[in-house]
Order: sequence, then structure tokens, then C-alpha cells
Amino acid sequence: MNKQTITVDDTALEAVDLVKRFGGGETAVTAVAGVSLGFSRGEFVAVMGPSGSGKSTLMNLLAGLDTPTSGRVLVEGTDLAGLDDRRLTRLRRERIGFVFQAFNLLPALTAEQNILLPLKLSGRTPDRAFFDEIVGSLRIRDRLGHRPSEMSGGQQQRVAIARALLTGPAVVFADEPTGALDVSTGHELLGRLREAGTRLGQTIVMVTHDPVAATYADRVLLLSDGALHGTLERPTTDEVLAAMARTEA
Amino acid sequence: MPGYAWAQTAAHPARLASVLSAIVLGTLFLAATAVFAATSSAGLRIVAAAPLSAADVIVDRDPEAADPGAGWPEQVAEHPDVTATAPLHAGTVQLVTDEIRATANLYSISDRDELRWFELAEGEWPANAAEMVADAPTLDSAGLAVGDTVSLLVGDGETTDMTVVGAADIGFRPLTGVQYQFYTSEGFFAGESPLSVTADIADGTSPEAVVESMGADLPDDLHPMTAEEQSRLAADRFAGGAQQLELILLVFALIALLAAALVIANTFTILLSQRRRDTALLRLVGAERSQVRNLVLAEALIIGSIGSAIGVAAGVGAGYAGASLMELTGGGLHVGVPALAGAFLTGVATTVCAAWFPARKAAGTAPVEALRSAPLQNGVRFRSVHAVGLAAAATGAAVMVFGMLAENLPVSIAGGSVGAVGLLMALRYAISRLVGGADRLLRLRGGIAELAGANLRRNTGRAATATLTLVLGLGLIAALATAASTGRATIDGDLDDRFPVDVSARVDTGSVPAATVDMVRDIDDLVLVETPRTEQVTVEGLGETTLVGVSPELARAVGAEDLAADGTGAPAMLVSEDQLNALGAAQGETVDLSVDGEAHRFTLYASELATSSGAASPVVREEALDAVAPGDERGMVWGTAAAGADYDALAEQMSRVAGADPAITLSGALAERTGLTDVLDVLVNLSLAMLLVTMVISSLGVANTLSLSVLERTRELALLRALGLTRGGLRSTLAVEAAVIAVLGALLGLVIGIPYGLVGVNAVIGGTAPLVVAVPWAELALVLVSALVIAAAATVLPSRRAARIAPAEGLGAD
Repeated sequence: MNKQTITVDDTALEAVDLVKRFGGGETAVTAVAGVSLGFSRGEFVAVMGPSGSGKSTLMNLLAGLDTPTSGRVLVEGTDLAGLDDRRLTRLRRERIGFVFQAFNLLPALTAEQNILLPLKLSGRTPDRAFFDEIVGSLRIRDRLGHRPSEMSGGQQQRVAIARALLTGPAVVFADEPTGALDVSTGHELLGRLREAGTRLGQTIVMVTHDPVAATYADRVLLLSDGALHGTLERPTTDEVLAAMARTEA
Repeated sequence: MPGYAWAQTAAHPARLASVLSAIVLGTLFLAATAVFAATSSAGLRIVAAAPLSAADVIVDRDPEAADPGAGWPEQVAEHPDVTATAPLHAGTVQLVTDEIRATANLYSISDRDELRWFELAEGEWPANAAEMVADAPTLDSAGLAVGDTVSLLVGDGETTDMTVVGAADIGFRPLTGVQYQFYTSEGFFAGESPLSVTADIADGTSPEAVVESMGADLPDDLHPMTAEEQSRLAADRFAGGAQQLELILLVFALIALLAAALVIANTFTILLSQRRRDTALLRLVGAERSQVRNLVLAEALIIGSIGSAIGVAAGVGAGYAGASLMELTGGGLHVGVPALAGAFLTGVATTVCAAWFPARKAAGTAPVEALRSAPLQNGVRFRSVHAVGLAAAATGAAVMVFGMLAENLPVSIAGGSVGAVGLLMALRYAISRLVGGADRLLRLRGGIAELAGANLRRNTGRAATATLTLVLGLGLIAALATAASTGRATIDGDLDDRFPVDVSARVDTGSVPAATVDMVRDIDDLVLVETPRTEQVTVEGLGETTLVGVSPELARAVGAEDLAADGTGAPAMLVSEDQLNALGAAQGETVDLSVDGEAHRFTLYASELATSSGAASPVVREEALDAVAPGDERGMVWGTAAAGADYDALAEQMSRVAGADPAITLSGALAERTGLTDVLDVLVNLSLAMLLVTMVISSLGVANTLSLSVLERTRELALLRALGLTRGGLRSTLAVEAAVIAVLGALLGLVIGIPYGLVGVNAVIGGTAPLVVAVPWAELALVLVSALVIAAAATVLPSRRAARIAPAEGLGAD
């Protein structure tokens, strides 16, 4: 649970020569074409690219939701290829967090039950102080007893973020987290995500095609046709737009 | 994670309503059976033990051994510790009132108050052999009151007038139906040797010790026993009769549970496919397969426990109500805790087991499905279990047909059983193919029908399971109905063979009075009533016998062609099989018979007509009888019923005739038939009533399938509405879907049920008489209609819901 654990290697997540091909023969589509990446501890990285650039597939591979055609994914040095379904499931619930566009929460559970779900699944008792810290910083304390249907979209996303952070995972994946929110709610959410990440030293990988959202990241990876086409460090919106234009050209 | 399972259950309680109702009904049935069994057995025990309740010791004489004489009770009374004795006599008599004539039981009741086992509600105790008392049900159904005088026909035909001097308060009398019971004084049976003697013993002596010393004193043929032990034995014998009923109830309870299991499995399958995204999310945030499975099973456990608890509680009430309806509750409510716990656990286990396969399927959900909507596949894939099932069904059917043709009962039963298992295994697959086929038919009709077909088509597996529950219930109903009507037809056919004359009444001497003959003639359904000529003659080889002479018309009407044909040679004489043997003649042989010392030539035939009046009486043509022994005595009335006559009404009218004329004795098909078919009718009606529970459960299944598919298709239905489908059109679509399920279920039920009914009835009575196949088309048509009614009822709620869907809902975001 302690975020200050020192690991020998400071790389939280690593991908080596990742390739994902769908189908076979003539109709084969290469969604990810040889991507090698490394994410350091505490880094907030945005993966950007137009529709069909392979960014969702890449995220699925990195999160262990899909198996690569070739190449390796290492979460804190553990090769996902060597894990069976049970161990992969355990790694997912202990070392990986998810926030995505919609269907983030189980409708039958309250916000608190949703947040505690991964811990309950692994039979761990939540660290109340840490829970309070996260819930406080995401401003959802007064929403804990509510069910998803009684909350706004932004509140639901913050609950999802709290759930992802509470297990103290190696990496949190956020797939278009602002996709279903209005602009100002989206920006507030990204601010909270960034703030929480910084405070907790949390590695966050965010897939988005919103240039404004990307500016909240430390680093922006530009993806096109399944391959990496450049990196921007702490870019402005204009820089992102320009880079996107170049990629799409 | 019970919290999560509870949250899922609590979030959409309405969706689990059908699971709950199904399991409530199933366990209710089971628990009711248990309570009914315990309560009725306790009640029966009390009834059986009642006549012994006043005694301390009872001595039986061995009915097999030589009669020790009417004075044997004295030997019991001589014992020093015995203070009082009472003989227990019982006999069967004919009760004759102005209204009815019926068999009644006549018992002795002790003349000494301390050995009487019931109280009087009114009147007095019988003081002499011409007085008797009866219990209230007997008085009611015989239309008697205290003070009335009736005639009793005792065994040897002598009539005794008896006065009813009191009404006995016996408490309750279960399962006896209309059985007349009278109690008279010991004096009535004077000179008869009783089967048992009850005795009171002196205060302070133990019955066991008295029994022991009596055993030493009395001859070996007299068996003393304490009343307590004897009551227990009697109760065991009596309660044993109820076990068959309990077994039947249990079988139907298990069938209802099987239907419930199917409904539960189907509901969980549908619910889980609707919750597929939630399940994937659970997997995404780290739930292992086993955790997902256990969550579903925990939900099943919760709902199963609630349902079973309700079912068991309601079952206690229903079982007691059932027992009191049959007047079996004399022993008070008896609840077997282990049996109820068993019913509860069976209910819970059924729910959890039924949820197992859907749960396992849900556990296989890929986590990535939480991120995108995946299409659901819903057909029933052909798997090895279906191949094995189809093979078993085909083999079973072939073996069953072979067994029927070869008249080999064990073979046809074995074939039927294998076939049934095979059907259970393969039927879901077969039905899902049929649903697909139905879609093709509906497509030809176009419009609404086509839409309904497409809906069925996209989830044939679900429709198949709903249909299967219907097949289960309707198939059993079809089987029972077929078995009942075939059984009845077989019994009637057999009786027709054995009793060519439907109604026969005779007097022992002289002619049947004209008034009685007129009453018989007035009976509506008799087409031919004749008073044959009768004459007491002595036939060499047969001894003294009644010779009956009938008209050619009657001979023809009862199918006695040998007698009806105008023979040119020796006149025909119909004798019984035994008489033919006694005369040493062959069928159709012409012999010289010495009748009253004169020789006459007759051609002998064995015929059932010779035993129409009960005793074997040779039958000849009227003119032949006149030639042999002229006279004008007509001591019999014979009648034949019209085809399709109402035998029950006929029997009632004949009993009235018999009541009016105590001198006549009834025989014929009618007298035999009622007993047999009554038992059959009771069994069949009981079974059909029990199957209603199964039908209610299967209609729940159909309603559930439709309503959940409406929930699932909200967007699609809204889109259809937006594109211009009217509310009525939407309802019609659902109605067509339900109708397809119902018709499929009913047709399959008939196709499967009819042969099974035939095999079943063949198994029970096939050996004793040639099977007369009678398929009750009218009743089976009713089955089809009721299936459609069930379907229509099942669409009510889903239609209301579907009609509320606003067209705009189809345009919103996913």
C-alpha cells in the first residue's frame, strides 16, 4: 500500500517490440506494428492518435487484456506472457487500475462499494487513511453512499479514479476518461487526476484524442498506423495540434 | 463478496421474481407433501386405533384355524384379572331404504359402557338385535335420521328390519367416501364366533403381565395382545395405504421442481447476458473466474433460500389444508422437521444447481468486453450430449415400439425410460432448430409475424428452454389424458367381452315384479330391455340350474351369433366355460343332454352370456326352452346400453331400482365397472391437479423469457416504434412469439406424451386385457388451447412494458 516503496528498477511498465495482428492471410490487419516503450514511476503519459491508429489495441496489450502476436509487456519487471488467467487476473487487480469512458461502475453498488471492489476481490482490508485521502482529494466524500445512477458523469468518473488509485497499482490506464463529459467537467477531472497522480507518485497512461486533455500529461506519445511517430514533453495545446497535424498528414 | 451478490439481487428484484416464484412453488409442493404425509399418517393412526382405545387387552382368533365356537370369549372372561369383555363382530350387509340399496358394514358395539369406544351425539345405545346406531356421515348420505327403520339384507338373503336409535360421534372418518357404517348390539351376532374380543383388566395390573399369563392359559389359536400394541399394528396397516398417495405426490413435486430448475436456469442465462458488461468490468478490476462464478451462485443461494423459506412455510399450510380437505387431520398438524429441512435444502440446491451452467458461462466473460459491446451468440450449439440424447431417444423409441408389438412389457418400459432420458438431453437442441424453422414459416407471412420470427431466431436457445418447460408439463398431461381414456376404453372393452349384458337383475324364485321391470324399462340409456324366460331344471352333469330362454333380438344385440342364427339342426345352448368342461364337450359340439330326465339334443357353445346374472345359467332360445320346460316364469331382467351411454347415470338409476325392490340381485357390467374406473378417475384427476403446478411454473418461464427480452431489446423496440410500428403492432409481435413457443411446446408435448401414455397404461393393465387405444382428441385439443391461453397470459406484463417504451429511447446513447 505504501507509495514510497523503492524498486530497483524505476520503470513501472515496459513494452518491447510489441506487435498485434488481427486475422490472417490476405485480410490480416496490423494494429500495433513493433512498439517499444517505457513508463517511469510517477509519470503521466498521454497516448494520442487518430481513430484507427491502434491506441486502444496498444492499451489493451499493455494492460494484459489482450495477448500480443509477438513482443513482450513487463509490469514492474513481470512478463505478462508467462502468466495464466488466474495470475494475470491477480496482477490486474493488484498492480493495474482502469478508468475509461463509460460503464466504469457497477450499477448495483454504491460509490464506496465500487471503490472498494478490487480490494474486496483480493480479500484485502482497505487502508482507511489512504481511502480518506483519495476520496478527499477527488471531492467525492458526500457521494459515497450513492449509486451510479444518482451521480453526474463527472462524479462517476471520479469514483472510477478513486477505485483505480486505491489499490496503489503500478500503473493506471485511462481510456478517454473525459470522452463522455462536458468540457469544463472534463478539465476539472483531468486536474484532479493529475493532482492525485503527482501526490501519490502514480504512473498514469491516458489514451485520448483530445489535444487539451493531452496537455495535462508530462509526456505525449503520438501513435499512427500502429507505430510510434514522436514524443512531446509537457506540450502546449498548440504544439499538440501541430504534431497531430503532422502525424495525420 | 456476499455483499455484492446481495446488491445485485436487491438492485433488480423484479427480474428475479420468476426465479423466486418458481422455487417457491417447487418447494411449497415438496413441503406440502411432507406435511400432508405426516399429518395424514398421524390422523389415520388415530382412526385405526380408535376401536381399541377403550380396551386394555385384545384377543384375536386365528382365522385360518378351526372356529373355536361362539363361546370362546368366555375363555378370555375367565381370566382372573379381566373385569369385562366385549366381542368384536363385523359383517357386510345390504342396506335397503326407500331411496337406495347399498353395501354397508355392520359392527358390534359393546353392551358395556366401559368397552365402548365412541360417544353418542344423540339418541340411545342399541339395546337389542333390532336396534343400531350410525355415524353422522352415514346418516347424511343414506338420508336417514334417528328413529327411522330400514331393512338389512344379511348374507343368506333374509331381511331384517332395524331401527336407528342413535347417532354415533366418531370424530372424523377419512378416505372412506360413501361407506355406510352401523353399530348394533352384541345380541345381533348371537351364536356367531367373533374374530376378536376386547377386554378390560383390573386396576393395578399391567396389560403386559395379563397378556403373558393369558398366553399360557389360552389355546394356541387364540392370540392375546395388549391394545396398545394392536393399535400400533393396525395403524401401520392402515397408514400403509396412504403411502401410495404420498409417492404420487412426491413424484409430481419433483417434476414441478424440474420445471422450476429449467425456469431458473433460463432466467439466470438471460440476466447474465444482460449483465455481461458488468461481469466483464468485474473481471477487469480483478475478479477471478471462480469469483465471478461464486458471485452468481451466491445470488442463486440468496434467492433460493428466500424462495425455499417462503415455499416451505406456505407448504406447511397447503399440506395441512390438503389433509383437512381429505379429513385426515384428526391427529392434528404434524410437521416433520427433517422432511421440511430436506424440502428447504432441495429448493436451495435446485436453484444453485440450475444457476451453475449460466454461472460458468458468465465466468468465461473476457475482461475486454467491458470496453466495447460484444455481440451475443445465443443459439444452441450441437454438442456431443445432444448427439447422445438423440441417439438414446431414437433407440428408446424403437425399443419401445418393438416391446409394444412383441407384448413384452419390461422391454417397452426400458425403451421408454431410455427414450425419456434421451429426450431430456436432446430436446433443447431439437427445439432450438424448430424455433429456427418456425422463423422461416413466419417470414412467409411477412409484417408482424416476420418481426416476431426474427426476434425468436436471434435467441433460439432461450426460446428453446422456455418451450422445454412447456413440453414437460403438457407432455405429461397429454400422457395422462391418453392413459386415462385408453385405460377406461380398455376396461369397458374388457367388461363388454365378459358381460355381454350391461344390466342384469334377478329374483331367486318366481318372476321379477312388473313394477320393477317397468322401472328398468324407463331407464333412458337402455336400448333393449327383456325379461327372459327362466326355468329351474336339473341337467345331467350340471345339477340343478336355471335355464334361460331369450329372444333372437336379444341374442343378436349382445353379439351371441350362435344363438341368434336360426339353426336347422339342434338348438344352440350357451354355457359357461366351466360348464362346457364339466359336460366334457367341445365348442360347437352337438350332444344329448338329459334335462329333468328327458334327453334333448343341443349344440353347446361357451359364452359369457351364461354368467350374465352372476351364477352360471345356460342360455337357450325362448322357443327351445318352451320345448324343454314349458312355463311362464320370468325371473330376470336384462338390458343392453346404447353405445356411448353415461354409465355413471345408468348405475345411479339401477341402484334406485334395487332400492325399490329389495328382492332383486344386480349383476352385469355396470356393477363391476364403477369400482375400477372410480379408482382410475381419482388417480388421473389428482395427477392432473398436481401438474397444474408445473404448468404455472412453465407459464412463468414463458412470461419471464418474453419480459426479459423486452428489457434487453428496449433500444431496438424503441427504434421500431420510431420507424412507425404501432403499440398494437408491438404487442402483436410479442403475442406471435409467445404463440410460437406455446404451439411448439403443445405439439411436442402431444407427440411425446401420447405414446408415453399408451406405454404407461399398457404397463399397468396391458397384461390383463387387450389394450383398446383411445386417444382423447377433445381433451388434447384442450391442451393445445390451454397452451395458447398460457402464452396469451404470459404476454400481458411484457406487452405493457414494451408499450411504454418511447420511440425517443431508440435514439439515445448506448
